[in-house]
Amino acid sequence: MSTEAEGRRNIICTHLKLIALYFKYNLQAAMEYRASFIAQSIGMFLNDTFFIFFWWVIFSKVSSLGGYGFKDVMLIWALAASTFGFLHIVFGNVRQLSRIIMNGELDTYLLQPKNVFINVHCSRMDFSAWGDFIYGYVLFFIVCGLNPLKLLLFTLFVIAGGLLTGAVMASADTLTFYIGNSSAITRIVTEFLLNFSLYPDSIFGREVKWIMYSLLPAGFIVFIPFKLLSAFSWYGLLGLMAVDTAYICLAWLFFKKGLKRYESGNLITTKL
Amino acid sequence: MDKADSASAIVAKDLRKVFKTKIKKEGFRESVKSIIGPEYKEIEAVRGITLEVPRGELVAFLGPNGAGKSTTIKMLTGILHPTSGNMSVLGFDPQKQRKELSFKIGSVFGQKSQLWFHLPPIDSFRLLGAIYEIDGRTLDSRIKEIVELFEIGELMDTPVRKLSLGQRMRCEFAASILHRPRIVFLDEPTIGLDVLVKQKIRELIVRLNREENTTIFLTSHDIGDVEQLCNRAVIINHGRIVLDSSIKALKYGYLNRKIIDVKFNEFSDRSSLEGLNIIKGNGLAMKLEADESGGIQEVMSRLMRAGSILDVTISDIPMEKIIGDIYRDKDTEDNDIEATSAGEVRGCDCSETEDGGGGS
Amino acid sequence: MRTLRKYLLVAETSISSNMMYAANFLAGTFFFALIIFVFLQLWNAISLNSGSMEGYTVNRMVWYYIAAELVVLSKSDVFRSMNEEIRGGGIAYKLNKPYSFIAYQFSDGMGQTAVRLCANLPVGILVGFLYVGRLEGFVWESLPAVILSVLFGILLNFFMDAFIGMTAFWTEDNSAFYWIAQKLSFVLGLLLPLEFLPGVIRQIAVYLPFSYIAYAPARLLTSFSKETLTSILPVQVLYTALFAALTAWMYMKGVKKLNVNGG
Repeated sequence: MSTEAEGRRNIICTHLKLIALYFKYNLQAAMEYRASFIAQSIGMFLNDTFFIFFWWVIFSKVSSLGGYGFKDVMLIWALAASTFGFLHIVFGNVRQLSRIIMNGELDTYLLQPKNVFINVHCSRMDFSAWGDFIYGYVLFFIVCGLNPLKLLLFTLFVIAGGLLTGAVMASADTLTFYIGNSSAITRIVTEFLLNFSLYPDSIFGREVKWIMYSLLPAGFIVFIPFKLLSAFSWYGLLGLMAVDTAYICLAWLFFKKGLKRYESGNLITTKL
Repeated sequence: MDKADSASAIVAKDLRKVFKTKIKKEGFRESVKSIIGPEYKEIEAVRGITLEVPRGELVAFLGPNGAGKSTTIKMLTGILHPTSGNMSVLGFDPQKQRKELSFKIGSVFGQKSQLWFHLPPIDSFRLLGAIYEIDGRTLDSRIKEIVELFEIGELMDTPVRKLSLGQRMRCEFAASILHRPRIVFLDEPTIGLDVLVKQKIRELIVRLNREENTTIFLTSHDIGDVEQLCNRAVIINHGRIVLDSSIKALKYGYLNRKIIDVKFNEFSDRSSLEGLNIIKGNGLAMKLEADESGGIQEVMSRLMRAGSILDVTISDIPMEKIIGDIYRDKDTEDNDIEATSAGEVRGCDCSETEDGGGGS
Repeated sequence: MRTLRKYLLVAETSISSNMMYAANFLAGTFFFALIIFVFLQLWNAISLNSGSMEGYTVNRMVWYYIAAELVVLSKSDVFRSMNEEIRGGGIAYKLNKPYSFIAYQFSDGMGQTAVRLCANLPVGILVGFLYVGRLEGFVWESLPAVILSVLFGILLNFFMDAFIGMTAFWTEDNSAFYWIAQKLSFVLGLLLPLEFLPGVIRQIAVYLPFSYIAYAPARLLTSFSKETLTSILPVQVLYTALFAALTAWMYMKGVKKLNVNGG
């Protein structure tokens, strides 16, 4: 029994080490093109800033929006930006997975003795995502000030939310094993998750909320964390972690099942 | 070597792989149609391959493009799941024990690079070390060993994008054996390399095989690779094995012939050309086939006698032609022995002349 | 006549090659419907207590966004393809072909736009009727002017991109210019109607070309009057002509530079 548990701990350790190493070498590769890396990050940062302008205009006309004030919306933005940023920094291949499967580029990962799902996702870094990630933290400090406890919680939610978002996007990509190129579906899923994470959830009707707390869980990515940041509860936190874990496990199992149908580079649509 | 599984590096029984591809026709109407109800076509890439490779052997796996070489290798390495059939690689089932197996095999796969383009090779080596769970001290000594073996010491700190293709290939090869694999799969390892680098890579392959007793499974279009490296050749076409014999036997039957392209300035004694095997010839330029075993010299001296030569090139017979010849021979043979069915065809003509040098 | 047919064929080929990516295309129209839906919900919540803002009811606001997004989402990839041609040196190879580089890019870009417009237009109209019903105060007489304004919005967008693309002759990396132009046209008129912007910014925006891409047709559609027509459409036409002329001029200069320096 103990050896099995030890083996499992060992697997987790080696994979965490792998993620850390990929992170390190990706950053080193980015430093080869410092100027472009910094420009991309700043661009993304500024891009996000335009939306503050939008909300500033809106809240200069109304004082509250479905119970949310200007600061609340800023905190939602902070969460969403850092969460998506974290995902694209650490698991930079998340948007490429469908293409990787289609082009047979999964071969490289299948030949290595590591979990393919983790290996493929973290082998690349999306550099512009650093802008999003930093932007979220800047907003957080503006809204919450220097509050170490909240900072810790915020960081936890960013990581958990990033993993959850990645799990949902990867599931859309996994469809590639079954129906061929599914990058369009991934795009739709991503747009949905993003757009429903950036506005107060109270503006949406019941039907949308159902989707937000099930198939496309924007609610668990941003809004539950937001509520826990304003009013913390252990039950809420544990519940959220359980939900996140369930989504991630499901996504992984789905991928593992799909992988059996992998066709390497042989999936060529013959033109007649 | 007997059939004892422990002695075999690779055992495959009746491997098959069928791909389903979407058929896409041209035109707007057809595009819409293919979205609504796509049509599928089944393609049998591998149609029953049975193979056994003993440990420590150097096998060439040959065949034209689309013959099913890559598909077979991908099944043996656990990338693809076969439609049917059994296999065992180093005692593992690639389908179920991909991870365990991957610790024991290495691969240089065509143009797919394991090295990070923007980083120096040493960084990729360290990353691969972590992937293959090699502990720090072992990794350091292994890297030192390989760097010496491959003579890549001065390349280790240069970003890969600044290396030449030959240098990159050497590093690529080095990266694939960091973890001391028992089998190395090489897919076209010398493609696009110049003669000197090619020779270097070949030497490395042989040394790896001798010094670490690594089984080498190699695909190539280059007859030279096969001749100089391997002791056994398996040729496949249309997803089936058409020939499985020792290189010696293959050489005797097929590889010993050369193509000679010659261009004369003028003829002085045309009659000395009589009796030569001229495949194509018009006027002063002609193409001949000659046998390596003593024949070439004879042909050359006859050519010299025939007139003043402007230009001459001697080249290997292309792989496609050899396979075509094997086919033709097989066809005539099949007419004699009707019992040989479409299933598994072993090259009996050669295995009979085999002198035990290969792997059986 | 024959030259015209040549460019029509380019546009046609562009249309059918864009049709090949049907799935991407559906994702695009879904994105359009989704954005409008989110904005509908947002404006419903915003104007819950005030009824209308700056003269925009929820109904008008939704139609405003539909018109504005329609123009922007139907934009072609001219900037990218021009950049690739010029920087990759493909242009040197095309100079000796019997067609005009700009006309070729134009036909190709308009082909792309046509496909996107044809997909987005019905979706936009459908979504508008489903979400908020008929546009309040809509008059049929405004339609020709609105259509014209949409077309000029698209043309202006195209030539502005082409103009920035031409800078590739001189600079190594011009994507920063493109990015800034994109963000300015996003903030000035797409994210919010100009009427919402603070006084000074609005004053400046009226003189800049950026709001004449999306704001102009959307404003014309939602609050049509003779005054808006005469204050918007002529400026739109002028700016389009200006950027078209600038593009042609830059191209001539650029090709000369290419001939001197040898691509």
